[in-house]
Amino acid sequence: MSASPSAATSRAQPAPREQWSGQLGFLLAAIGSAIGLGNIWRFPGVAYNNGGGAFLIPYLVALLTAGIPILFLDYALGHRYRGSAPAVFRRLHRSIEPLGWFQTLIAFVISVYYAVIIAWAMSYVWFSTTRAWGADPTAFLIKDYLHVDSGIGFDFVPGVLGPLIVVWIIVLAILAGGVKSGLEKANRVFLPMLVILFVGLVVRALTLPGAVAGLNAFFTPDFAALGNPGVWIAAYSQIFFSLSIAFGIMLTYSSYLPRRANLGGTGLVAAFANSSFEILAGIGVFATLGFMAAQQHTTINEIEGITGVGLSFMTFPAIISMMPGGEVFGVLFFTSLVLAGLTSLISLLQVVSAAFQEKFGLSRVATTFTVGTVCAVLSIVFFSTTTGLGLLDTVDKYTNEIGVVTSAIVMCIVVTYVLKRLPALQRHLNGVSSIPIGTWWRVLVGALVPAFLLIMLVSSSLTLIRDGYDDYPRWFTNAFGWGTIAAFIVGAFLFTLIPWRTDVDARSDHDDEDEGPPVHTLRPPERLIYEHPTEPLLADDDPRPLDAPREDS
Amino acid sequence: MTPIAILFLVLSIGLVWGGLAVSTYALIRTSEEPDTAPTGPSAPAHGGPPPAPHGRT
Repeated sequence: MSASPSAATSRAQPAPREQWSGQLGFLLAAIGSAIGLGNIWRFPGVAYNNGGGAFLIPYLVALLTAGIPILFLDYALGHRYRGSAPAVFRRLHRSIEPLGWFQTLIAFVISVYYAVIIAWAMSYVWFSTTRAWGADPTAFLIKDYLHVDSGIGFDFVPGVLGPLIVVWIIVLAILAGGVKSGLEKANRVFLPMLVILFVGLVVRALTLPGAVAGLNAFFTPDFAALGNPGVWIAAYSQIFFSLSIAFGIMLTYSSYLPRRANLGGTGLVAAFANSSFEILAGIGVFATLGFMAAQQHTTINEIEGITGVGLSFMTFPAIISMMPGGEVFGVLFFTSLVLAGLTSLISLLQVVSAAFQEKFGLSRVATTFTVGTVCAVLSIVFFSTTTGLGLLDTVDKYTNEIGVVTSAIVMCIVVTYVLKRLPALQRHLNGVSSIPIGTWWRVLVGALVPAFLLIMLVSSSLTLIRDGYDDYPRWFTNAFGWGTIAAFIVGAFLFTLIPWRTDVDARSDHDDEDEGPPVHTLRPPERLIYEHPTEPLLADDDPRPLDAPREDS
Repeated sequence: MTPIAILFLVLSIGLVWGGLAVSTYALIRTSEEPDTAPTGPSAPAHGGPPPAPHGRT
């Protein structure tokens, strides 16, 4: 069990919480986190395989009914309870601290393999300059670069090591700089660079012969697909995984916002910016695939490898080899992947770093290097091996489709039905948002989203249990797929048992630092102080409508 | 491009990028509003949730 309240006096007061310099800094970081590899290599293929233009309908429905509501829930939890994921859930109720560690461990595992993909992309920036993959990019990736040619084994692949070390040095340097000087500055540089490079890539793609055929394939709707439940599940999955929700990122990021911040407004901008980039990626990728189809005198639907690793490291290199000036196009594409990956990786690692910093009362730099070193060693040991590609694929599949979805379902159900904190969080959102968060939000978070996610979870679990995953041996998917999920659960309870070295349960003297001068407040000064969750801002059983103006309470 | 593909291209851009433009405009507009509560005889004496930073209570 965790330390008792009586032990609180011997624990350190947490240092003043770091903050973003303002709303723009937070917004860029949130967008940077949301725009990741999945926007570029997952969305276009998923949309094409699930109805083309018609996919826009379930996609927008999923964005409005699941993505944005859960994003608001993450924001509200982080901003209201101001801490890392374990601290936030512990402040909600002691017994649900494991949910915070579950989310932290998800972020930890994703960090470990995400860095490897960025390292590959970094290598491919260099390979693009000489088209090093030659005539057969698939063989180059599998045999020459990753050495995945001798079944399952854990022999070391030195070619991945160099870029992987570079990735970790960059990421740790950014995190050691802290929220304002590290995360925020990195996003202020990386995100505009990413957008400029990617727009350049899309413009070039649109001028290629065959681009129109690619856009036709991408946007022509197949309305019959809308009757297929699998298409709707695909839309909800895409939105859910793309927005970086329910595994601690947005919760941690919003905890660094000043008390006076527009949660609703920034949430909408972040969500639509993420989707806008996905549409841009769809246009760029399918214009490029149209060029490939034209060169090979075939059609888009006969091209293999239009998502994920296949699209990025097999299909695109092949296209770059066909293209006049392909070297420049390759550098643009792979640098975009590196930048999109880096802005997401630093957000993932910040979740882990913040949790351990608060739990163990360590300094930011000490935590960053401890956590970073563990992640770096694990990513080198497990993923720069001859089985790295299969391992990454398996861990990614189970972590996202089982781990993240389970985390979201438990979060919705616990907050709504067990702790009944949704009304208080709605009031908090309404207190700091420029848009009204009405009853619709509670209906979506409390009923529709968990119901839909439960369908997704059951569907995915049954398929994985019945068929396994891809062509991997059962022992392999059991050990590294289901084993990862088991490790999340066991680890979450084990970390909860470790006593906090900071006084996580006490009201912090620093919680009201961001209130600014008490000018013209609508409430007495003492109400400006952050109230601990045990003393809710307004009673949950208050009969008045949640968004009604209140004179006093 | 086929007319139906053009229609869905325009719809995608209009709805998603339009949503981004509108939400960004709304965010900028509310950020420009003074970060103070109303004063004078019509202002409530005290109470209520945390003051909305952008004019909404």
